[in-house]
Amino acid sequence: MRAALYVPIVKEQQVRYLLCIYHNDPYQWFSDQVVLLTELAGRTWNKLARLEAEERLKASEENYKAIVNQSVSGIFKIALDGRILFANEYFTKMLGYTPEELQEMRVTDLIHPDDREKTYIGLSNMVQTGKPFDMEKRLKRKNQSVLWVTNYVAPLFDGLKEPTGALVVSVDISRQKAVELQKDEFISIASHELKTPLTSVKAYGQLVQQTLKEGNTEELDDMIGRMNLHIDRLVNLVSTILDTTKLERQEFSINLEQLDINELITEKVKENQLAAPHFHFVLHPCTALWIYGDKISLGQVLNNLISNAIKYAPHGSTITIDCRQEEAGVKVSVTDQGIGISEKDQEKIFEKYYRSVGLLESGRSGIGLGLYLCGEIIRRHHGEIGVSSSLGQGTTFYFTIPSIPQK
Amino acid sequence: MKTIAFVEDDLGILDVARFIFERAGYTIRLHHSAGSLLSQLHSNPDIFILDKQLPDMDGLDLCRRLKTNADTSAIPVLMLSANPQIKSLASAAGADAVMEKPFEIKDLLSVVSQLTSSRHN
Repeated sequence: MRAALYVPIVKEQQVRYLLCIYHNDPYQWFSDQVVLLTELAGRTWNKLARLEAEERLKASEENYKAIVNQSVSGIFKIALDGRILFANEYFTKMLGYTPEELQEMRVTDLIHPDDREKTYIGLSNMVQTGKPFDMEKRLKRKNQSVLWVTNYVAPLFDGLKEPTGALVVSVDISRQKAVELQKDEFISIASHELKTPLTSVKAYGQLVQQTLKEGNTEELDDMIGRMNLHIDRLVNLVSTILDTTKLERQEFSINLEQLDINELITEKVKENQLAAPHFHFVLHPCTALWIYGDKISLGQVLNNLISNAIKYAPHGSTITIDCRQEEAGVKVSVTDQGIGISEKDQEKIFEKYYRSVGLLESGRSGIGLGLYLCGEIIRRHHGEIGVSSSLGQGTTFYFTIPSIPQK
Repeated sequence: MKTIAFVEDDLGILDVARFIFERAGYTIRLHHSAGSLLSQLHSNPDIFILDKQLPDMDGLDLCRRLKTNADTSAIPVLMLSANPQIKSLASAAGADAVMEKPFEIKDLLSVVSQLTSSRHN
């Protein structure tokens, strides 16, 4: 038979551990041995409590490390002299540096030269006031490309409450910046595009006024007719912008009714011929073909395709509008003898805000919304839109819409 | 009768320019591209009026080219553009005057008159 002695280690009225002493043979414990072991159990508690605290701290550190490294923001710590003391994995990925490379660098090495001064001012204010701050700025990646971030900077203090550095959370805002840039660019392009017909309208307005004063009314009819054409251009531009906004807000609706596509095409060709007498228009009409369509929206599509042909083809050239019945429905195409569109541009030409590189280089303008809107309108008619072109050989834009079966 | 060479890619503005200048007693030659102007420079005009945005060349580059060509360097150039930065850009390109679109006809005629008369005085 063996002998055992159990000494409970009690803290705050709870048994936290048990000190167990075994003897291989039957044994009678002496009272001084029991006192000694009780004393030992008490001392052991202090050591155990310390070990427990260390375990908790270690678990907590692991926990924070996991949070910091799983974060989808860059997190880094800097000393007051700008040395990078620590950077999480995400920050190293954002900039393309290894953690070791970052720890050899100062934070200023990462900041775009134009944003360094405002960073110094921000950090110096933070050290003086002890208050956190945030700032939009550009960082430089290892490959020298620019990364827009918002940095949330909080001061770090030592035991004497003296600042020792800062903890920075860096959020990638490059997508937001790209959208802002696109918006600014769009406003600038749209303003320019609106000013061009406005210049003509304003000039004709002044000419009409002057002509009336002179009492010479012969030219008035012609001038007012021309002025109205430019007002129509303005209305079309503004409608395109407004319709695109409606599309984005899911507020764009079309009213389908039975209509003769041939009649609509003939009407739009006549209108455009009047506005661009320098071009030779050839219309290959189809026999009366009925479709379910929105007259206004489809009129916009035709106007857009024809006015693009006018814009990008040489004066005096031919613009051919063709309408034919095909298996899938009615196919309408507009062909010009213009500069053509590269294959690369053809892939993207129906995307919003896309303006072909070739056209931009040639100085020709556009707001990058017309063809996008055409595509959306045709899709809402359950149809398809497309382009075929080769550089220098002209371009054909076409769309198909299901026709109503003939009875 | 003074002659104007007017270079502009927008048909509407070309049309209205013809109305404005013919009524004011000028001869106007309309060009829708830089290439069209450069191929017809055998008889020099009294003034060039250039848009900035042309289909085959930036109007500012066309201005530089005219100002560095011995045959055309003395002919005044008026730059017209809807671009609000046109003033500083045109000055750097050597233009003699600049006007932002949309413009007042009386201002346009006054600038053209000054530039064409100072050339012969």
